[in-house]
Amino acid sequence: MKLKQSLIAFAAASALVLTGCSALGGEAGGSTDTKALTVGVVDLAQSIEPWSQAGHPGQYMWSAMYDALTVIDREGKATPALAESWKRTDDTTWEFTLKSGVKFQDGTPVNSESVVSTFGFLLSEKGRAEYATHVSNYGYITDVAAIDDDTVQISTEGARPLLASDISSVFIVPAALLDQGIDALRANPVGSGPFKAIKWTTNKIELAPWAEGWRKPPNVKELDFVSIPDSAARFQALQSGDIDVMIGLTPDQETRMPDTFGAFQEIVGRMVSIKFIANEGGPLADPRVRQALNFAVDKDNINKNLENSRGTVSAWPPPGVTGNDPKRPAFDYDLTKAKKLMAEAGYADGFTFNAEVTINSYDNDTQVYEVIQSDLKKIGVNLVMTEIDFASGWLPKHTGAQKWAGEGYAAPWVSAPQYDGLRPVMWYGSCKWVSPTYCNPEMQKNIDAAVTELDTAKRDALLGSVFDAMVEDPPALLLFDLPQVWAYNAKVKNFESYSVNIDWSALEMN
Amino acid sequence: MQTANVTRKRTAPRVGRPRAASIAAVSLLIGRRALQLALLLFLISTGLFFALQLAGDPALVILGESATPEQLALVREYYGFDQPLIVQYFTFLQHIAMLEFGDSYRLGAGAMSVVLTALPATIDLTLTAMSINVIGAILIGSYLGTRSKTALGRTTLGGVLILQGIPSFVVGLILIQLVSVNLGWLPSFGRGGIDHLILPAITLATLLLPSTVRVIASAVEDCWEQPYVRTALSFGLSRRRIMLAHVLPNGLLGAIGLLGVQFGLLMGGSLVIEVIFSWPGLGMQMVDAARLFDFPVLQAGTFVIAIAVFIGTTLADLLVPILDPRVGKFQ
Repeated sequence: MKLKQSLIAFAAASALVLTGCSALGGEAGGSTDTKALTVGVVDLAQSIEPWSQAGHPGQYMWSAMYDALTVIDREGKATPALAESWKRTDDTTWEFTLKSGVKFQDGTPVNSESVVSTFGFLLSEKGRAEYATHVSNYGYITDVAAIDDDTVQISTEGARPLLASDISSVFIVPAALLDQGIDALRANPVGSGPFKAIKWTTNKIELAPWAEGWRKPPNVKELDFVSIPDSAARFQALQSGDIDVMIGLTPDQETRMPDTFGAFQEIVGRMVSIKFIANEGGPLADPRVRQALNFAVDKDNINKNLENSRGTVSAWPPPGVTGNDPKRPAFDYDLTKAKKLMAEAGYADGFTFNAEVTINSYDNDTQVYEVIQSDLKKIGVNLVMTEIDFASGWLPKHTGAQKWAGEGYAAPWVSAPQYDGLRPVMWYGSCKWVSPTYCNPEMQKNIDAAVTELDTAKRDALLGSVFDAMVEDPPALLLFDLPQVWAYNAKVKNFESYSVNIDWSALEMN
Repeated sequence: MQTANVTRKRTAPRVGRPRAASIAAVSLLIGRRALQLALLLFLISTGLFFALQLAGDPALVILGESATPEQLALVREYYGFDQPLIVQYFTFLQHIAMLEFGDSYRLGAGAMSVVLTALPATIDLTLTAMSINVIGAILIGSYLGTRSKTALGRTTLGGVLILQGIPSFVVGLILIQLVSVNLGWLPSFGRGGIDHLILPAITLATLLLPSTVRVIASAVEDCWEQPYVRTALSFGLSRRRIMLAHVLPNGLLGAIGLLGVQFGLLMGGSLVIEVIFSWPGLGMQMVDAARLFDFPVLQAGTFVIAIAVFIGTTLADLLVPILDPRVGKFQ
């Protein structure tokens, strides 16, 4: 009897635990409201203050709540956001004129004081340390001053043609709020974007539309971002209707998606590659060998069969990134040409090519490497790959703290957040990087000139010459530019995302 | 009078000695466990500190691939990463001793506060999974203990063995596909009402259920062959009554020690299950922290898990001698 009573008591206690849990609530997934939109992402923004990381994933959430002076459009160009216009007054000074009548969600006006205050906070010693990744994009700004209520003057160290793009993720917050300290902003986040924060937890962000913003009001009743790190679980949540939109649709999931669902490919300017270490002698010192390796790999075949044709095979930089030229020749698969180049370089019998790679950097990367291995074998090149950890292996080697062990390494050519083709070239193709693996002195002259060239036409010409030279003297085995693929259910119409911003104005909900 | 005195002298120690001995034994056990915990926490902190040093340069991780030497110097100085390793280690120990884990690199908030905020969700999940595990194991184990040779018994045992071989995250994904996607009965992720708890708790329970079932089934089978069961049967007591009143109380004693150990396994298992079901608990925080190199949260979370496992195993150790006097005698 005692046992029976104990079992009953235990069952009752279990029931209490269960019912107690329901009362805790508040973090449930999905919504039954047809106008509520739930977006499933891998990670939420690292913090409620909108500068703790640059680009993905924070910017998806922050751009719904906050605005910067500029925004990058789908062609990769800086366009007006809070700033109505801007002009350069001399080589190192710019004036930004703010849109008039724009308000923050607390009713205070967006004015030059708020712009100066936000930049002042980020460029302080504390800001440079705590938001280091973010500030590294525009750390060359030396001063931000208010000319009048609607005009801000930004001074830079040296000429900076990409200033308007570089500050496209500097989200502006009210000066009065920032004066109270960062904790005040964390407790009461206020921006000027189309949505206002209701609740912010470590795995769910709940936002409500803010109708008094300067844009067309969003056609959703509520916007929730939920973190579902596992890709399979995220796809199942989309299928079950618990979420409406998901990020990171894999090629395999895309083939299994119901017909009523839609997919959108967002350009993130990420070309995957195996970077050559070309400045240490050996076969890879010869540009003909590097060309041969590029010609020997059937990138279209890999893209079609392993990436569901979602990649873009092109020369650097790919479409959507400044500097792209559709006429610039990519390395189309040509085994005969590859063998001929190898023979001309004196490596007709091939050689062993050691490369260090990280795994799970993109969908099916292990299989991609296996196919490359197989393709290169056809020209006698024995590709030997060693897996390394990103944090303890890749980063210290890339930044010069350790030395690469082979003749190549996996490298993502990420051009976001500026979407400028020169950005990754500074790391992978410059003689001046802290640990250079490639150096072409002629190309370097044009790189240096392009960094500071303020005239758009001249800069475009310089970029063209740099990227054209890369075709003759390739710094990497460039594979394809992989987009970020979103999927959405039948309730969602016109879902678009570009430059790490979701286009809320275009979005419609059934 | 003399006889009475002698009797009293003989009786008193017989009653008092076991009680005093029990209290002393319990105090000794708790004291010993507290010392073990202190040593364990010291070893965990030291191991964690040096393991995280091997995981990568935190300044590099914060800055990413565009890190320049100037930026690295600034970040290292700001966070104290430029200090000699031994200085960093003693500073770290000093802070740990005062239960100061610093601020989360990701969230800005205090690391321990991040962990404690997530803890209730994990406790909900763990206790519910443990309840399902115990109730399920008693029901299935009792049946298998007495009917293992029947066709249904063999099938059930086969099912239990198959379940033991399937990783819990696979069970979770199958359950989501069947129950959430195909049938649309329960939500597939997140924390909210009781409906959100069912699938993750069942999934987590399947991590332990097979082993608990087998322990209980084996114990029940042993007890069922004891002479007192035959005696009870000969007195005409029903099998159900014998099971509930005599066999299960004895059979469950062996499982209590196992449940204490399982508590630790549940805390570990919840890391994966919380990710699959996007359950906002400690496991999810720890996985995020490991992925994004949020060392303070990793350290605080490991501390909390170690303490929770300690409490689970100590409670089981205390409970077993109380429920089974034979164990107390041997100790």
